[in-house]
Amino acid sequence: MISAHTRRSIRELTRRKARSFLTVLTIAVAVAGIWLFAIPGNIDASLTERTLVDGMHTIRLAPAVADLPEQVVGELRTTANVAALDVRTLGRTQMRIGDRPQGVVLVGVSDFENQAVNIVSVVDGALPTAAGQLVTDFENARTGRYNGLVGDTVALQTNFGNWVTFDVTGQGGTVRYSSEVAEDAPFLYLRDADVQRVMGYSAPNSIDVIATDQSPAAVGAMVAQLRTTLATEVSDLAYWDVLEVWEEGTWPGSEDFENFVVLFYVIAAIALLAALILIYTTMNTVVREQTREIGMMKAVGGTRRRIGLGYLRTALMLGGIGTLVGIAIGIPLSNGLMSFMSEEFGGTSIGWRLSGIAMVLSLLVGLGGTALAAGPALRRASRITVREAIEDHGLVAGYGLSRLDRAVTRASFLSRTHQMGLRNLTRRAGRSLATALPIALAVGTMLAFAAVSITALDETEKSQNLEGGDIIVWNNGARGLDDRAVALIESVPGVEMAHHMIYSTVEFDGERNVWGLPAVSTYEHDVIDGRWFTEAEAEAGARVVVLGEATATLTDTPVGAVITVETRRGPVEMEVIGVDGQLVNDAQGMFTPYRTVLDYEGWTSGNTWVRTTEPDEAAVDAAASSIHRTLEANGYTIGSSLRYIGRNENAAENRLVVTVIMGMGLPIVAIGMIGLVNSMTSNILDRTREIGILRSIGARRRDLRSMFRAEGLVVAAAGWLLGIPIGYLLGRLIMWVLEHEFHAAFTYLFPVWPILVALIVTMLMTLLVLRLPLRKVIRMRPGDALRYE
Amino acid sequence: MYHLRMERVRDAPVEETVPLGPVIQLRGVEKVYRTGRVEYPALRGVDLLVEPGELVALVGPSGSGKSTILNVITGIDRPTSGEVVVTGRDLVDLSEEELAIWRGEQVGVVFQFFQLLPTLTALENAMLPLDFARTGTVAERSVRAQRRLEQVGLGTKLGNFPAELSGGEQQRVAIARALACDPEVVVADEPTGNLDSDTAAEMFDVFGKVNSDGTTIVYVTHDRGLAAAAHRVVEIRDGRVSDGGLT
Ligand SMILES: Nc1ncnc2c1ncn2[C@@H]1O[C@H](COP(=O)(O)OP(=O)(O)OP(=O)(O)O)[C@@H](O)[C@H]1O
Ligand SMILES: [Mg+2]
Repeated sequence: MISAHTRRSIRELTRRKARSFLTVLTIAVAVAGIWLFAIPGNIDASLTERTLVDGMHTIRLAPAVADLPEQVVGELRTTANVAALDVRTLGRTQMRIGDRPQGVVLVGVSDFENQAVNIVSVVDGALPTAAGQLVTDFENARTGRYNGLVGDTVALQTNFGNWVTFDVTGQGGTVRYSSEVAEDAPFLYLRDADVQRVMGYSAPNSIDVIATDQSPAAVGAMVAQLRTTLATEVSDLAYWDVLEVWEEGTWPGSEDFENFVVLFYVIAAIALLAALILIYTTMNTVVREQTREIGMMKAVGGTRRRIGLGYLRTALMLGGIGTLVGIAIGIPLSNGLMSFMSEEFGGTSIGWRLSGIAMVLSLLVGLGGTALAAGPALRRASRITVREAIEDHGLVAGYGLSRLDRAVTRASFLSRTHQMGLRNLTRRAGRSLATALPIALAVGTMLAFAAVSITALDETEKSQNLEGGDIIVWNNGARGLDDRAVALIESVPGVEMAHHMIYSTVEFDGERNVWGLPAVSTYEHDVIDGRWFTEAEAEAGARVVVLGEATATLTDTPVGAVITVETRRGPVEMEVIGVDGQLVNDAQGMFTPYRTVLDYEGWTSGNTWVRTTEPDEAAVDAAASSIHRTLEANGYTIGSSLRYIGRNENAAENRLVVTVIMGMGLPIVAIGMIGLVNSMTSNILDRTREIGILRSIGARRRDLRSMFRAEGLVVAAAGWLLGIPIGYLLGRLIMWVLEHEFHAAFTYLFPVWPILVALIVTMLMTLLVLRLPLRKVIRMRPGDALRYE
Repeated sequence: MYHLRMERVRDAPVEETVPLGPVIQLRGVEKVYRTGRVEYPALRGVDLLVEPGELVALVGPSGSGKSTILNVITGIDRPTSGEVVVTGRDLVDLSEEELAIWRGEQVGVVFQFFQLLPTLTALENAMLPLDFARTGTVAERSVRAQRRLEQVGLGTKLGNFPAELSGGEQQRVAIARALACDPEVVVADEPTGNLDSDTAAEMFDVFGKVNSDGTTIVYVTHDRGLAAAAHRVVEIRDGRVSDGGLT
């Protein structure tokens, strides 16, 4: 036999089915929200795991061209601390997609059957087994850069300007390169010899190494040893590229991802808070509604402890069911979001994972949080006296005693039903606040995310437009792009401006990109301190440098300082003449005259940036074709890439990221919604008897509707109003975190239109949510309403 | 008073005419309550006629069906079978919404417990039926409600909230509210059940005055003295009228 007391706790759940359901849902959403906490860790673990499976390199040495006999490679492999080593050939050329030439990256693998580092594998088709075959990265199609499938053919431009055709035998990739596709260009995997044939190389140019001990010191020693071996064994070693180092536990995209982790935690915390408020309100309502019952139980000998425990049991049953449902929602939700995000950030999809911490937290919050949130209500329940219970006739008395109540009664210009609605709000001020709060959190979160997204999009767009240039032209042949080439390009119809440009990498408190530019270029700098270099400095190749804002702050370098940067040919001293505030290279780069870079790199020419007269895509296409024709007629072999393609993809990518951010706010909005449904529903059902009386004295349906609508809309509007400052501050907080992450200042935008959208949405939601419970009570016979317990 | 009555008639649907016959007619009214699988016949064929201007007391043992009869008269509950015609309207034909409007205009209800709306002052509570019926201007409603409250002796406590009134005062507000629309019929279920005998007697004076103005009143009471004040006493036993049902 179950005791009557226990039976009561159980019946409590089925008596108010709608409310039990909503409470369970609230707890479930909160618990599901906790699984958001699991996403960053899981993505990190999965991609770290992936880097292990794919054998991502710890370091990559890139000699320009090195003829590495098998015996030298063998010697390199036996170097201390080398766990695995592969030699590869990387090249950049053009592929033809339809009529359009498109930049492409070729990865040459010497032996597809025996790979140890950056292992290329296929998800469809097969790895190349003969010359003339290649694998297309699965990210090529996913990002829309190149949609080729197994069985298609690809035309690649050789070093000599002619085109050779390859068969696509498979779709696949490896984490290191797949992650580059979205940002850079399509990646194709060919046999080593094929890449060398296309590129006109005689040897591999990349040595990919996995270290056993991945601590910086051990890796440094290993690199030094590898360099020594190479320097003594290979006579025609031209020069070294700067090392590419992947620290343990990082993966391609992990840096970008870290920016989002903080958002995850903020969201999950808000979701939790909103849920706790909701549980608190619900339990409070339950107890208040049952004042009479509690009094009766006391009258028949129920002790405080027994009564409190009875309600605790009810709360824990709700919490238990909610937790189970929440876990059931949370696991697929977090995994879905996770694979979506890992594709975005890591460029690879990952499998399902569970999280022990999320599981423990779920139980803790679902059960512990529920008990905690129910605490105040339990205390209240145990304090209710028999006398109070006898005086409780289902209508809460005691109105009109507070100052707030009195103030509201002055709104005599309102219709009677609106007055009643409004007064009910102050009559249960605590509950009204508890309804408004989740709405405020939901509105605030959405506004903050909207503001952050808008700010981020705006900044990206600004920096993208800044980079200038519509076409990048590079040398693909024997003849470098000299002054004559630039002059030829500038003479092409449709070209507004063409100038030299060169990318270089140096070490200066970490690896940094250097842009070599003329004094006047398509890059629209924004010097926030000092100055840009002059025409004379540019001509002379002066050792002057303008630092990106983040570079300057991170290295604490003032204008006027003389810094030493490590180039591939040794240290070079440069004078810092200015700081640039643009977000190019995340503001972590530096700018010097073009000739300065040529000088310290020992190069004779670089690329050319071109700005067309018209920015539209057709005009850029036409200008690019003309440039190819003109230069090829003059003996240059060139490659080119059109900036708009990358820009469009970037924009699409950004929109996607914004969508992800908005999507992450969904649990909070869901909780806000449930809170709204919950309190509107119980507010109406609570007052069923009151509605019975109103109906008995002639209240029509529209009177009741207008009363509850006025009530609901005012609470919702209050929530919305409260949500605006919350949104502003939260957005500020997130921007502050992002600024610290990027080491650059953003102009925070908090536009009005999302606020208005939020108002409209909140109001419509409220009206929608009111429909169901209102219909229920309005349809009730007044007799049933009066008898309603 | 006259012009106010005119107003009410103007607001009412055109086909409605003041009935010449009984103002309340119950014929063969049965009411079966279903609780799960158990059926309980609360009314087993009630016949009751009440003429305009009558003051009728319903008496009978607890559980005999008195409250149920009142609820059927006011349309708060619907009978399982039988005929219910009140103020010339066949209640069976009316929808819930039409019933609410009809009650607002023609019937005043007083419950045992005070049933005032806690967020409204005494005056506002008394005005509420007029608000619902959209009678006249707000100022006119206020004047009318105020007069009713003065009539029940609460002229000085118009601005008090229910929480600031005693039980007897609250019940007098409830009566003022029931009378607000100058209803044809007033129905009261143990209106003095919670009051001491002095207050109860005072309240009955109000009923007497209203009744002498021509309003039909039906009330339930356990108090023999109060029942004796009625023109007619109807006795209910086991869901049937055992005495005094038909005039
Ligand atoms: N909603 C209901 N469901 C089931 N039975 C009901 C319901 N309402 C009333 N009853 C039953 O109908 C019968 C008549 O009830 P009613 O309230 O009319 O009695 P009453 O004469 O007013 O009694 P009292 O003097 O105690 O108020 C009672 O036996 C009661 O148990
Ligand atoms: Mg009764």
